[in-house]
Amino acid sequence: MNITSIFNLFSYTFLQRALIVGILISISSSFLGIFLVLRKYSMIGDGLAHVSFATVALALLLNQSPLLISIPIVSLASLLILKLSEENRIGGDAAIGLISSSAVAIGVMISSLSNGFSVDLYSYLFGSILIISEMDVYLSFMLSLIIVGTVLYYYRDLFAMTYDMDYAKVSGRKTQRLNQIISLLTSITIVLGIRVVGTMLISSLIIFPTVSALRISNSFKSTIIWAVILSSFSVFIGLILSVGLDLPTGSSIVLINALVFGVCSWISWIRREG
Amino acid sequence: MNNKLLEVKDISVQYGKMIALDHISFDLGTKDYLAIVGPNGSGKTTLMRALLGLVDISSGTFTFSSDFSMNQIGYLPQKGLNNDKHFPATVYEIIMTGLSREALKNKNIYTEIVQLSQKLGIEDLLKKRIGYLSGGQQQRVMLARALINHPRLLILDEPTSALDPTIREEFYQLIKTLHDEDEVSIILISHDLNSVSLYASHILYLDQHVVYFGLSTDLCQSEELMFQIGPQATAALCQVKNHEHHIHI
Repeated sequence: MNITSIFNLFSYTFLQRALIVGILISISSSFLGIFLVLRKYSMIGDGLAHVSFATVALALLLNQSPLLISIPIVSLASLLILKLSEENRIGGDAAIGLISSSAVAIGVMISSLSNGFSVDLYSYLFGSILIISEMDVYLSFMLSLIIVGTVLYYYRDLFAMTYDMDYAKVSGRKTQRLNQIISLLTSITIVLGIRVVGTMLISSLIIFPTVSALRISNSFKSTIIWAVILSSFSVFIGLILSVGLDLPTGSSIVLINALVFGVCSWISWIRREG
Repeated sequence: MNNKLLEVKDISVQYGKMIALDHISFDLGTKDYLAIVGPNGSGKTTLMRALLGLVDISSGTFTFSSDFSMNQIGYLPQKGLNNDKHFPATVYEIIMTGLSREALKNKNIYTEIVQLSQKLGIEDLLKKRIGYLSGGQQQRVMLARALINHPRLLILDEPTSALDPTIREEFYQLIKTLHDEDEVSIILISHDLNSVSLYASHILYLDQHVVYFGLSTDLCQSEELMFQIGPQATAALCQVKNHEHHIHI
């Protein structure tokens, strides 16, 4: 793969769309990631991805647009996880486990009704940039704007509840509503993201960039900025490598993220020792 | 005249069949410094969380004075609520979380934070990461967060539990100064009756129910309290109180 062939890749419409959607998802997931990771809630991404697997299976069975079916159902599932974990009888991780395993069971059941896993469902499991439509690009753009705008508007409140939930409640912040907002925004990001990296790997887009950024940044704001940069970089390089070398897209992006995490950990170690 | 700021009437809190608080009643005046004391599991923290609206009460009522709103409460939690040493936030960012949305519009907020941090001796730490500070420094930051919104009532939950004895006394002194000079009402939760009885104007001794509620100067006259804490602790407490009395004379 030489420089000319890399530049030639950008002339493909499907890659242009994948890059735009991928980077928009990176930005959205990085804006949300810090609030989920620091509150030990990052596996919600994994749980909701499993739910979206069931909804995609349902959409394919009904011959409907996966986005239209997935967004409302995954959003409801996220609110259910929140409700279960807020009731204190079930921990957040157990609530995620309950919902996600039930959803996978339903997904497999649905796919068996439609005579087993089809190629379409496989592409949602592991991501395929070929299924990204022009409509997805517009939707991703709009939803990313909503996500970034909402996080910026509620930034101080979200920061306060991430550091100390009790204090945030005592100081009159609407923590329950803010939790619901974060859950809903996460659901939307997950549903959009599975088209690029698939249901099996989407949670890595929420976790990896934030965890890597935490290694090299000093403040809350700089962590978000670094997460956006690192995530966009990983998606960009992962997509180019995937198309140029004919590698699976989701895996390429996640492995680049893992590599970036390794580099950030190394930088952090050097700083500590130096 | 010391007006009533808070009136607690017959509050009970129950978790399933377990009674955490049993018909608690007391008042807090606008100039009071109340220490809530009791052994582990006596319901101190539950009572505080109920007053802050973090725990549902099973029966009873509590009412603040009509000119008081909940956002006039400053709250200092026990050390260690966020144990994440690597939490990516500077001291300045943490103090900012104490501000209401309206207060954030104040253009002089930076100056106010600097002034408050000077008063609390943490002005050099504003750009440092919160997780890298010592226990005593972190408590001062949490106190700054509680004070930045100019509270009328400061609620502190075992603020000195993680501090060594010298810093503990300094911290109690700091709270006392806030109470005396800035006229902030105080509710302080502690298990250290001897220490807090030197600073607080009133003591509420809890053991699920109220064992003693009254002036800290009258502690040694309560037979029920003396029976509760035992002869050794009584002797130590009354020695402290007598010593305090002599100092005042």
